[in-house]
Amino acid sequence: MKKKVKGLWSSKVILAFIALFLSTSVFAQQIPITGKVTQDGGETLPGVTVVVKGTSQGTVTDIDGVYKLNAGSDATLVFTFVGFTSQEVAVNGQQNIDVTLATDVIGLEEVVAIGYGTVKKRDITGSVASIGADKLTAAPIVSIDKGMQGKLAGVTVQQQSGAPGQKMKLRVRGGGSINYNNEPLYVIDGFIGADITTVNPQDVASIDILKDASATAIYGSRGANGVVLITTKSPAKGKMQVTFDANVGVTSTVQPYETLTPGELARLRNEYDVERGSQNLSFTDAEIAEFDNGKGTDWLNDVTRTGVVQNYSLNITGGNEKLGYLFSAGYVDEQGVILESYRKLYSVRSNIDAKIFDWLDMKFNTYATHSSNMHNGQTYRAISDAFGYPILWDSKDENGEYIDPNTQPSYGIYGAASTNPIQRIETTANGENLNEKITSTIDFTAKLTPHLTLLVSGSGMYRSGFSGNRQEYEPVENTRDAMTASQGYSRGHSLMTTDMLTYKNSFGDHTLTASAAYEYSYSRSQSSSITIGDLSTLGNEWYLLSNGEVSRAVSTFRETKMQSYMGRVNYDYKGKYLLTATMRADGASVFNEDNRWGYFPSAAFAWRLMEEDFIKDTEWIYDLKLRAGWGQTGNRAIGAYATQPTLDFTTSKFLYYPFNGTTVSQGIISGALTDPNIQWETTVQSNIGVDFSILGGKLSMVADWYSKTSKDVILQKSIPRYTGKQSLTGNFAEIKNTGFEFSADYHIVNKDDFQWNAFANISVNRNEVMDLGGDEQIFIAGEDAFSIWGIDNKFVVREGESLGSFWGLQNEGLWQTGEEDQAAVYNSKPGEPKYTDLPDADGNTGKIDATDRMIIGNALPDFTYGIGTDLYYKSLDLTIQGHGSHGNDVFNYNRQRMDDSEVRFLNPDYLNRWSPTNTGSSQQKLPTGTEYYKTHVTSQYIEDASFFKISNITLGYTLPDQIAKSLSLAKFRIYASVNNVLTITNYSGLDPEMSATTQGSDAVSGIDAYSYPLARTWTFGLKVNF
Amino acid sequence: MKTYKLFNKIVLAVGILFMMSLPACDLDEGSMGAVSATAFYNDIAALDAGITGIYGTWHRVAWGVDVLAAYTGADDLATRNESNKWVFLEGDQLNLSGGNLRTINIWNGYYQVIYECNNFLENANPDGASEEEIAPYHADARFIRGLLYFELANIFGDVPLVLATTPDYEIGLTPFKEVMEQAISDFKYVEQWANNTARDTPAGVAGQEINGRASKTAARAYLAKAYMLLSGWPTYENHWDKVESYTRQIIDMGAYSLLDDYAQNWGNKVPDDWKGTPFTNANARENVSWKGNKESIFAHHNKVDVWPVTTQSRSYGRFWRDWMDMFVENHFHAEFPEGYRKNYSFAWDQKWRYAGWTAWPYAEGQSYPDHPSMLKFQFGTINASDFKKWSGLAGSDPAPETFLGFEHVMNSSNDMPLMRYAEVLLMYAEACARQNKPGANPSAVEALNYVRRRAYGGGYEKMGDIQANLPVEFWKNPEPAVDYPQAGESDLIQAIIDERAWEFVAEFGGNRWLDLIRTESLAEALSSRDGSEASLIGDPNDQNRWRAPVPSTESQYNPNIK
Repeated sequence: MKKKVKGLWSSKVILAFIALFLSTSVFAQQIPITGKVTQDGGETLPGVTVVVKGTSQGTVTDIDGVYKLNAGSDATLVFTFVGFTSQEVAVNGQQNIDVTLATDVIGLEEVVAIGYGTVKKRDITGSVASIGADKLTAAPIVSIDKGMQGKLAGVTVQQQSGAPGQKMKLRVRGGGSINYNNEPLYVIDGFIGADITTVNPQDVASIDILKDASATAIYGSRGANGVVLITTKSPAKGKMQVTFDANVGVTSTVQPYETLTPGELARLRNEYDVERGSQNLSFTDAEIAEFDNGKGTDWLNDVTRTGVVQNYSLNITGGNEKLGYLFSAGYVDEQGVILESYRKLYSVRSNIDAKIFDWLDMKFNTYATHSSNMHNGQTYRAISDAFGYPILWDSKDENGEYIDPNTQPSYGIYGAASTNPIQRIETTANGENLNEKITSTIDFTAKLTPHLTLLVSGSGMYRSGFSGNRQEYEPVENTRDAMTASQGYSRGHSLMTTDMLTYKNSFGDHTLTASAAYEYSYSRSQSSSITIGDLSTLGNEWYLLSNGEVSRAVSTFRETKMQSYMGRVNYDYKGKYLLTATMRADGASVFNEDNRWGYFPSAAFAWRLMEEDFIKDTEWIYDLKLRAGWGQTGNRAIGAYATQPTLDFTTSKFLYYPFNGTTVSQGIISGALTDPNIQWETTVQSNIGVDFSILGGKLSMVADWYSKTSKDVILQKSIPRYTGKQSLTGNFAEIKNTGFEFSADYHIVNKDDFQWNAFANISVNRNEVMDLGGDEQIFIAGEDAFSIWGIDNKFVVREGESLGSFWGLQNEGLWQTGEEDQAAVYNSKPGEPKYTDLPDADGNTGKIDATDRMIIGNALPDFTYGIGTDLYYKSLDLTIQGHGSHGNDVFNYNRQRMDDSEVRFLNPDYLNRWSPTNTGSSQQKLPTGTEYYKTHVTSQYIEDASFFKISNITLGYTLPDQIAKSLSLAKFRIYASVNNVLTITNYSGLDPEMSATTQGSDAVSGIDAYSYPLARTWTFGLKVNF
Repeated sequence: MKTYKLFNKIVLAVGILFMMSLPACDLDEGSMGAVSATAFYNDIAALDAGITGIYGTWHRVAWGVDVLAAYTGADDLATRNESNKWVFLEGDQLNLSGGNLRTINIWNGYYQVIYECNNFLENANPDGASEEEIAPYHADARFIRGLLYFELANIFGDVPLVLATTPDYEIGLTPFKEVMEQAISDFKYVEQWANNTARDTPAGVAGQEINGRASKTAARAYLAKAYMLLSGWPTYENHWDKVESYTRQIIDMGAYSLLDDYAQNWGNKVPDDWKGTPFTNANARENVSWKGNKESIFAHHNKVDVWPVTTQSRSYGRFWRDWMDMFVENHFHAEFPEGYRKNYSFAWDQKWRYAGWTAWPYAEGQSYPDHPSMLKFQFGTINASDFKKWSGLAGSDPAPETFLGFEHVMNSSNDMPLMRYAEVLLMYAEACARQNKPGANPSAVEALNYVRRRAYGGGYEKMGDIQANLPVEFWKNPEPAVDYPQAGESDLIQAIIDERAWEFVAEFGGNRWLDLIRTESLAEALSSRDGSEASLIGDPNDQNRWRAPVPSTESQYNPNIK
């Protein structure tokens, strides 16, 4: 019943719109007008669009800048040309109107995507950050997130992993969700849900990021974390143009992990033997000499390599007035710095623009990719294996065969070891992962009347994936009869239709644009995977699974739907006062019927002070605009079936039991505990901003202040374990982000043969947990273990504190000589770490345990910033980019591992460890005593990871036009580039950006645990235009 | 003309609009991708999957030695003062904390299984099925629930009694006695409804049929054990008549019996001609002939399978040998009566230890090298090529370096017995002795002697010798070397309790610990604690130390749980 009412409502509204606006058409007396358009300095401007305001009547200036048209004697002519400030001239009966256009220094006339439409930059009321193709691809990049890093205020991009094809962590104004995704919504050419890791950066025309709620509310339930709108290049009509860009790079780790060498380790152990009073030394001098001569293995080094990255892109575009085309093809082959890791991405794009009738336009964009990758996930264990494997052992024997660890000498140190890390990489790389994806969007834009436009858009995405693998035989872990092979298929498709009616008209000084739209989206995904054991042969790899016995067959199915109604009104008075109001209603299938619909309103106001008489003549101000906005957005957070009480037979654990001792049966267990009445997470955001340009537009600045409160945040709240479950999912929390952003662009020099620009931006965000539904603090249920065995909760979410708070023991340095008695209370000795002993619930002290944990750091930065500059001198161009972060902590789990007894003390700091005669050292003594860091996070491993990075330097040379022409080329540029150039930081690990945490989370972030190392890449390339 | 064109546009536009809006109809989520808890159990055949889920969960939470952390305070188990062994050390020093990760695991895991049982009992009631059809399945769920409450009550004392899936965030603690009564009520339901002919009829067991599910016999054994525990500290109710009657019923049924070879309760069957025959990996894993034997009343069933099936046992092998999570206290070892059982249970000689660890890093003031290690659960996990040497037990002399190989490094197909016929005999013996009725003592003594004689194994030391040299059911024949009373032995009850200590050492029931606290004799047992053991922190007379503290995190969420 409810649904029917909605449908009726929508059709009524549409009919009303049609009825209302068909009736408006006014005719005045037409007179012929002619004139000439020039720019500052007198040169004529061909190609300028001249339109009679409020109509579709218009023309374009010819080669001499001359135009001719007919218009009403009381009409107004509007002159627009890319790169120039548009100008309006009242006809007032004149028949000859010459116009001089001013250069648009700060791009006020540029069109910016705002979701379901575009506006000129001058008319924007919300907070939107934009980046064009030139800046995005100033450095050779293989994915667009890298191109955005450090360039946009309020947008923080962190590269957590160096694995090929890994997405970066991107945040727009901090995160408001605890357990669920804080990533922004990605929209490509209107299609919601783009995969930014596979978009060919060369296809992108511009990226516009909607930051505040007045801008994102049009995306309603998906707008809470900001919206990234990617617009691909439109066909360039005219003669066919061909662009070819190719570059090749070499990539390698920036610095090695510093560990003890085998010789140092052997000597350390002998020292240690003496310290603990043992009669026998572990190593003889002869053995140590052998280690010094190269025996042993630096596994951390040996699992890495120098990789080659290749990137090719071909773009062909052209067409005529009726039909324009753009075809592109891309190929990326990235080898990672860890052995056997790679990604190969093949992509093709076709963008077609067609004018079917003079009132009907069509746009048809299709993008398809095929990729093949290996070992590029976060969980890949090469580094952890390399940390744990005995460095005193050689990898291969004299015949080149891997040495069986069971035959390796124990040296009195090593216990049973698992597989050689390099061998394991090879073992697990025996497989393939293939993915295909195709996305198509078709838009029809019908100009029903001069004022009324109908957009009907349909888009769809289809993806498929295949993964297959077979274990390699190696005697230590994979015995021949225990080997398995498996393969899995997945597929998914999403469909989306949008119908939007837009009315636009001017009434004197008043301009009104109103849109109403209906949208429906559907997505479905499914997968199946089969694992077999008892392989009769190893010959068929993973292709023929009838070659063994099925040990596991699993399939999944997921379906979600959403229905939306939205409206937007833009009102403009004399270009001075701009008002935007939007409303969106979303109904989502993932919620139960009573909570299905969410309503997301917004309003924004902008005041272009520049148009006011009292400021117009202030010479030093070039442009000034104030903006204020408010809006409400949502985050769906949960996935399908989360509100239904379910049983589970997809989980791999807990499901099997061998009742008769020989055959294993599979059972079913309960699913997660959820609140069936779960609702949207709602974010309310206010924004105040100012756009300010001086020095004739050479220096332009944007400043924004915002306050963003997320309510009903969905939380997997830990509950007492006697309930049988770890957590309950429901709307419990409230989180607030407040912040300030500032960005400046300075065109320092702007001459024909010398241009110099610089930009800088800073984003300050303060995150605070306001409410946890009655609890003072909670722990994230199912906190990712990151292979950190035995350590309990690493983070706490506490009222009044920021997300990302590390939870553990506070280290107070080492116990010193003379403190034996106090230390003994804790079963410790001088030289062992000393921890703050908080009283437990009963007020007792005298023991270090879970009750002594406190907040010992925070993973979220106080502010992030970016700076950059570009120089063009004659044929040379140079760009330098940098970005940084301040006030964020990282849990350096790697260093902790190197300290602990399980990896047998690899930390080189042990060479200068504490001893009664070396009390100044902060490195714990040997033997270590109780290793509290094995069960809790301890603060000596929480480090300040503030940093500044020069992330890229690119130097290019463009062949002078004449030479290029003589070679029949339109343009020819060669370039050299290096990224990850320099990092200034006090962080002791490899790179302060590295983290093994999931990208969606802010509550759990900043753990450097066996992360895939970030690399430095040297790239050389060329770009040719024909 | 103009109007006509406009009309055209509208028709086209509206046409496209409707065409593309067609799929927009309902927002119903459906349940194609989910398994609805209520709809799943719509017929009797579906109930099996739920029972498997319960057992699978139970297996997974109890597949390691965690559970022993609650019992290390007794005079049998010891651990070492090293890294992650603190969890066991806390118990050994009578100092269990609310932050003990192992006892927390017991709590969390057991309640997780209880949830699965409650979930099953609430949902697994297919329409139209009769009570007779459903009850045998419910019996399985109630048996596991009863068993877990039985263990929770004995480990933690008062615990929250959760019998429904809807979370109660304000629930308080239910007294020990009532929790045990709940377990008894579950066991009684099982006694009434279990339908397990393979384990409840003489023919079934005699045929060595394997069946891991609940049985009337298992329920009776646990009813006896529950009543035995209620008869001691802290409740001191006198239920010895019930203990006697339930155990008598099992004995009289005649289906269960002692195995002749004590060692056959663990591990896999060794080929009869094991002498000189290479013991291949394949048949070590697959040979399951000792599973579900006539002594096993209830056991965790295990099987090593290919990933991701995790049905193996992790209570064997590495825990005892490589990682040395636990071994036995010196005094306990010294008092342990000589004979086959002792040889099978421990190794004392230095060479039995993991060679690589003798020097590093445990030398500094560590007591571990001075302790015997547990062999009982290493059996059947040992690598084939070493089997022969190993099975020679104390008499052989393998060089330590060659003694590294394990068949299942940490995963084993061996079952883990929870309730053996030997325990039924000893409970019966104690019940008779406690009641001291005319004629009871001879039965008590006879049952005790069965266990003693079997343990003594005719004085033989090696596996194989028992079968080769002793008659079937040799333990029914008098054995002067061990029969009660031996010289100086006068207290029959004490003799039975001592026998329980030795017979069940390190098994999952935690019998030694429970016996010491139910008889309030912990302090006495620990009074002869060897100087090489970790010093006690808690006072063994302090009854607060006899129960593990409720995990400290629980009171964080619910202040009523303390």
